[in-house]
Amino acid sequence: MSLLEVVDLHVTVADQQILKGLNLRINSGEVHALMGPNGSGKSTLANVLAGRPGFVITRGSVRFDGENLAELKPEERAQRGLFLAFQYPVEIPGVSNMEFLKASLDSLHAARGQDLLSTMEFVKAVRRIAEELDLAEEFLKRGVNEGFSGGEKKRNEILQLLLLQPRLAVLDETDSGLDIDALQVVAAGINRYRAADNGVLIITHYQRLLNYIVPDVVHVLTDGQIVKSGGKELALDLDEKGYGWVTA
Amino acid sequence: MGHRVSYPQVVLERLPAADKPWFSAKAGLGRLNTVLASKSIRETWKYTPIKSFVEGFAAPKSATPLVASGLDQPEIEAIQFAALEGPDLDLVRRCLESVDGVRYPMADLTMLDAPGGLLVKVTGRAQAPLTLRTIGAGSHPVIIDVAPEASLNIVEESEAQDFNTQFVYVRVGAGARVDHVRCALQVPAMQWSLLMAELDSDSAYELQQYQVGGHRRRTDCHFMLAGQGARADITGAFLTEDSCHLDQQVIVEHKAPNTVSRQKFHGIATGKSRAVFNGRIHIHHGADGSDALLTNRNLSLNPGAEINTKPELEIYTDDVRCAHGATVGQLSEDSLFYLRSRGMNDAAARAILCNGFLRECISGPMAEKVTERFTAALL
Repeated sequence: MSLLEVVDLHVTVADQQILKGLNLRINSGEVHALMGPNGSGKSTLANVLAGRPGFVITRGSVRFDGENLAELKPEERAQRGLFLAFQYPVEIPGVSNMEFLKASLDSLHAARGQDLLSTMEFVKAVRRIAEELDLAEEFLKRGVNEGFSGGEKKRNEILQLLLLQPRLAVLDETDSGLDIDALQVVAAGINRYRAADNGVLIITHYQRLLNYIVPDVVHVLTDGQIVKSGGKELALDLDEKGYGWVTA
Repeated sequence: MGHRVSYPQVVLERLPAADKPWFSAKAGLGRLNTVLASKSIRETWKYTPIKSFVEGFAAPKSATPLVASGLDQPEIEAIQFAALEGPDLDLVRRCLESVDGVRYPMADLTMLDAPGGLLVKVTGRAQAPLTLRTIGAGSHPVIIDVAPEASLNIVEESEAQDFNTQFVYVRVGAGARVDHVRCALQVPAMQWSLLMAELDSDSAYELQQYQVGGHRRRTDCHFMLAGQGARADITGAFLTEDSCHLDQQVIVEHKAPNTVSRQKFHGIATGKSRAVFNGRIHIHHGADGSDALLTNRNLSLNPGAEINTKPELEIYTDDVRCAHGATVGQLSEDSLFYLRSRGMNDAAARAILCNGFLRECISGPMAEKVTERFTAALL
């Protein structure tokens, strides 16, 4: 059974049809890259997978591990192992990053009937990941994403990915706004997460992240449909020739 | 309601009419008779009619409305009003006479009603905090005189379950510093309190005020930045639940040049409660270089909850920096979705966001206790 199976997906946002029959299948152990021009529906797919209110499935289906995602609340999707790295991570002043991370991990463990980490175990785990991502201790104490630079916010998303260890990671333009050093740190984090029992969907505009994370499959999304899929060399072709080459 | 009587003469007639050495009952009653019948009272007590508060004075009193501790230290001298004489008596009289009877008729009522009071003189840097706990019906006014260059921590906790009024007047000498936490985390029947602070040159006052709205509570704070370079930092967090009613009024007067004030209040109203916030900045003629900021942000969590917020500015000089902002809103959908996408259910996500919102205004020695109380109310 596929980890994620999207069949003929139609989605409207504010009564506007954005996805128009999208098909996608991701198996465990695979990394897929979804590329496409602005407005093609990339972020819509990410949001509809995570269950953001306002994104309405009008036709087709999304199955995660065989389960119909449309029937699950956002938190239930997270509890089943779906993770969205946000394109624009939200700032939450007054709630420390550490507290947010603990509440996230605890809620996942509790929902799965697993033992909660002790505070000591938790702090140790978070510190280790933060160090790998070159995030100073101070970022753990500050309000969630509060006053973080664009790059720091993205690294904080990857910190969550590594801590929460989901089964499917959807990374919505995690590479945008990153300088080359931060890009490498983030890519290293994603590669560390990559395993035989999980899957990754990388949504991106640019080929450059794929220099560091080699995808198994590359898809091109245009006007709400996947119009071409191929191997990692497809991303290089796109980089050279642009999206017009695919749609023409 | 056996204590309810007609308003206001019958109540006034019941109050002790004899003059006290520190307070003229005759003058107080005279002011009250005028003020309570005036139109201005309807404006200053717009959302919280004063009538029920006035009637509250007819209720029986506790023998010990207030307990003060931390008095036994070398930098502190405490004198009950009944034992006042000489310059100390003059000092108390001057403080009480400076209270505006038109703005604060409840202060006159309190002074008429209270059999005594406490003067606390702080002569140096007090090591232990002065703790004032309101534990019973009635009132026991406190006047605190902090000498130049001295410092004091004040912890004020309101725990009374019956009608009470609390009046604290703090004089802060030149270069002195006061750190003051006021907590009203219980839900008493009805309460009024007034904090007046008068700041001399280069003195500093930091006030943190935390409240969980009472059945009906009105809290007045009045800061007078009277000496050049004086500074007041005021933060507050409040939450009203069920059918509570909390009315907070803050006035900051900049009376001298280069004075600074900062006010930041965050509030949440739930259930069918009502929260009122009125913050006024008054910059007097000649107070050049004054710098004043006021923000009040509120969350209304239920259509049945009501929040009235009004910042007011009165500025009589050109050379000032002054800004204010007040908002009433709901929790951000983006923030809620972010937390839910990490596995927290809707109720837990809301509680975390509300708590974080209040905690932006919570710090200091009571932070843990206050946060616990707010958390309990939000879950």
